[in-house]
Amino acid sequence: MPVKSYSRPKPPEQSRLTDRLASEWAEQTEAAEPVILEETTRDGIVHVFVVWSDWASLTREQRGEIIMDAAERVKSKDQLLKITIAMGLTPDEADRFGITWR
Amino acid sequence: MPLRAFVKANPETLSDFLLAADDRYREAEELLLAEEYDGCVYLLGYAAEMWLKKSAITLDGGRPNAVVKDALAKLQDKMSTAVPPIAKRDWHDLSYFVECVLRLRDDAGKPLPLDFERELRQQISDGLDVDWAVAMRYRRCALKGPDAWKALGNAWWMKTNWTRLII
Repeated sequence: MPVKSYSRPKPPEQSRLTDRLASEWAEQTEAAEPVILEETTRDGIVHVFVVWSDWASLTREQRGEIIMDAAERVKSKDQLLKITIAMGLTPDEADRFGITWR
Repeated sequence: MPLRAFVKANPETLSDFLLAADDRYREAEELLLAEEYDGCVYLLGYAAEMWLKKSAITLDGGRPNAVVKDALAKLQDKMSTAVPPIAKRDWHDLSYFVECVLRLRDDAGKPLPLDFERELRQQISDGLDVDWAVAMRYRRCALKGPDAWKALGNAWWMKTNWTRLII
């Protein structure tokens, strides 16, 4: 019996949001959202917080996956390895986290 | 969404761990200042545990969005079949995760400098892992100031050095 590798297909919504985030990240348009916050620590580690209403129905894991998939398209491998936090939040969640993003 | 339902629907990721580690550490400092030493040490152990798990999972290829529970299962599989295998006492075994980090770095051809490896063992395997246990939540330990300051030193080392484990 053949053994094939299998990975769960991503919901179409996830692919669409990944495309959109990568595009916003690369072009840095004036769109109100998503808001991409990159915090670089003293030791060069990068925390990425993305505030976006559109992913309210997605889990934290899915949002983080979208951020990392988008980052893979716009960052070098070295930059990518320095990202240790990829946190996707809605505006309400970001406010609760005490993140200044507006 | 109520907290329990939210937690169930959103299993912890590595990103959650890093934010929580910073939070628990900061809360532990507050408890130290308030001379609440049992609670202080209790939280410091968890903070160090999260930084260690983050380091081991990252070295094992986990991205920041990785679900910790799944990534730990994968790590355990790898370590249990490694030669020689690395076994854990439980999921809060700080020494186990120290050994995982060291093994994964060796396997990647990037062993830690010996003096740094020695520090890691002193601070965690011979330090916090000796002076902290999850079971302390169910009892009064009557820890003293020096106990808490020692644990703070161990956890502070982890807080300020964990990124060196993954670079």
